[in-house]
Amino acid sequence: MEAWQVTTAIILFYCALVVAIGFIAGRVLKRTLEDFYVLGRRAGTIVTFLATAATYHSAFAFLTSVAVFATTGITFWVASSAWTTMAAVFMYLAGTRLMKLGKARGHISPADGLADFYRSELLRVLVAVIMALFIIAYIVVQAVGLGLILDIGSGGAIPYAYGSFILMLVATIYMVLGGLRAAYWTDVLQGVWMYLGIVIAGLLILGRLAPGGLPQVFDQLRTLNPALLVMRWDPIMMLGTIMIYGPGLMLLPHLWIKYYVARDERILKASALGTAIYLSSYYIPAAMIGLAAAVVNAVGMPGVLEKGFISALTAKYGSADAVMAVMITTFLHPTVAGFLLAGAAAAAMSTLDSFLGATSLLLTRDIYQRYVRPNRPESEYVLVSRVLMFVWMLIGWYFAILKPGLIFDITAIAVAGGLQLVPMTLQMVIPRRRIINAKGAVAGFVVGSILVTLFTVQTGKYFGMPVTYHAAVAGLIGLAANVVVTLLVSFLTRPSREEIEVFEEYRKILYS
Amino acid sequence: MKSMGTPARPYRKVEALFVIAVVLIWALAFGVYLVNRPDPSILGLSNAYAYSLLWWVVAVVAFTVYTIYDLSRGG
Repeated sequence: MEAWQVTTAIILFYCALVVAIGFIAGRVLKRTLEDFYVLGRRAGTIVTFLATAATYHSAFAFLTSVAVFATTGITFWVASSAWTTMAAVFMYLAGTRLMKLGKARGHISPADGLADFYRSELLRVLVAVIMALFIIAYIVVQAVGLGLILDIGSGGAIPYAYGSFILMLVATIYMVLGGLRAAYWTDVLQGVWMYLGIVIAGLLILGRLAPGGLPQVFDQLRTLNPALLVMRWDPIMMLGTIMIYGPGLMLLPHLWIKYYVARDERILKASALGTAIYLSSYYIPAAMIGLAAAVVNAVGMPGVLEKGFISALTAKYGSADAVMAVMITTFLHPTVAGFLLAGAAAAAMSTLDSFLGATSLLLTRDIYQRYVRPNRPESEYVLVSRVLMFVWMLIGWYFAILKPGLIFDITAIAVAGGLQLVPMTLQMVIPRRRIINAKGAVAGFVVGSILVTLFTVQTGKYFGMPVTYHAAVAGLIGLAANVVVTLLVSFLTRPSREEIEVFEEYRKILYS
Repeated sequence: MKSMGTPARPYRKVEALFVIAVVLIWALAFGVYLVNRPDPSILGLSNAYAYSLLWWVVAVVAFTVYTIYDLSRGG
């Protein structure tokens, strides 16, 4: 067998394994939405921890982190060490409260919880629809990552567009077979696989290129390109990334519903600590590979990789995200490369499956079940959920084949949208004094979401906006306007009697 | 809800102190701009990277200590 065939065969073996897990998960599935989406709220520490960690880390972590390390240096570590740990702390503080409220009030989606607290059906529809739209950006980047993995792993035998379609189809199939139960089960496998993958890849590649370890790489870069050894983002950009990839990401529906999975509060808290360590330490081996790639890019390796190979990859794939896959296939044995690229596929699929599940949940539970065909058997809603997963998969794939750019930049759009849920969610989990009502929450969320769209360069250009902001900065601008509008409208309007009554019930759940 | 089984005020006070500590510790992450140089530091790493690594260790250890304390008093 040729090298690419070995690598591809291992990736396809991994695919068969996750489909089999999806099939088995489907066999034990009860046809109710609560079992389909939140495991009947019975998950233990291992499942809750790995499902959260594996879902958080995606193609973003395995592919784009290495690309950003290779092109902007240690900047990525400085910011990511802060945002990953912040995400876990947010899970610890806000997630446990959302879990308690969800259990007491029967929530299984973010729109469920927010509509219940604010007694607003308008808010339910807005959250469901706007989040489903922002999430498309995140689905697209998983599709991009999966396309790169199979294209490079197969040596070009399976081109980017086909590779993306095949691996997305695999994730969709196991989701359709086993619902989010399949996602939780595969997350355990994927969480372990992708972590081992990045650690092994980091050690092997660094050992091959710089036997002296990171100090050697730093010495080389100090001569070749010292700008890679300092923080290059300004403090606003750093704050923006901490906010969007911390609270912003943890409030997106695919992670929000993870809070409802845990059996009790202690499990969720222990999982949050595990998540902090897992997410942040993941970027240490990623830094090893990315910085080593920066050295190779600067000096070249005759007959192996040309000087400036990252620019060539960017020209071919539309971004530098292929650096990781190229480093693996170039410097490691095909069997090891297959194992590691399967780990990369695991990173992308473990997030993609949750996004497909969470999006179909939002649209089925919060739109179809309430407004299109209410009071139908649960099995009908499960069927609709499955169809929606295929639809969102195809939308994500379509945008992916347009090669939209660096995964890091595209994901930022989705999480900047998630950040707009912060003000209204904080009032929900801290119901001490009422400062936000339904009208304020709706107005602030709409204004924040619109500003994110207008000020983000990838979306703002369609509205003729002369902006060059990164979505991280656009997220901060949106949040600032969101807070002001939310507080102002809440101050000027009165809450309904129903809202006041529910507010008291939430106080009792959390404080009595 | 075990945490609610303990007297509410002490728990809320401890949690409030934790939130203040989080804000302070994460503000220190921005201290990297004060040492933002490529010069060799610990293990030959750059000043900025070494500072950020040390910050990360402090943040994770602080979170771990608080979690153990919180869970040991009923979670």
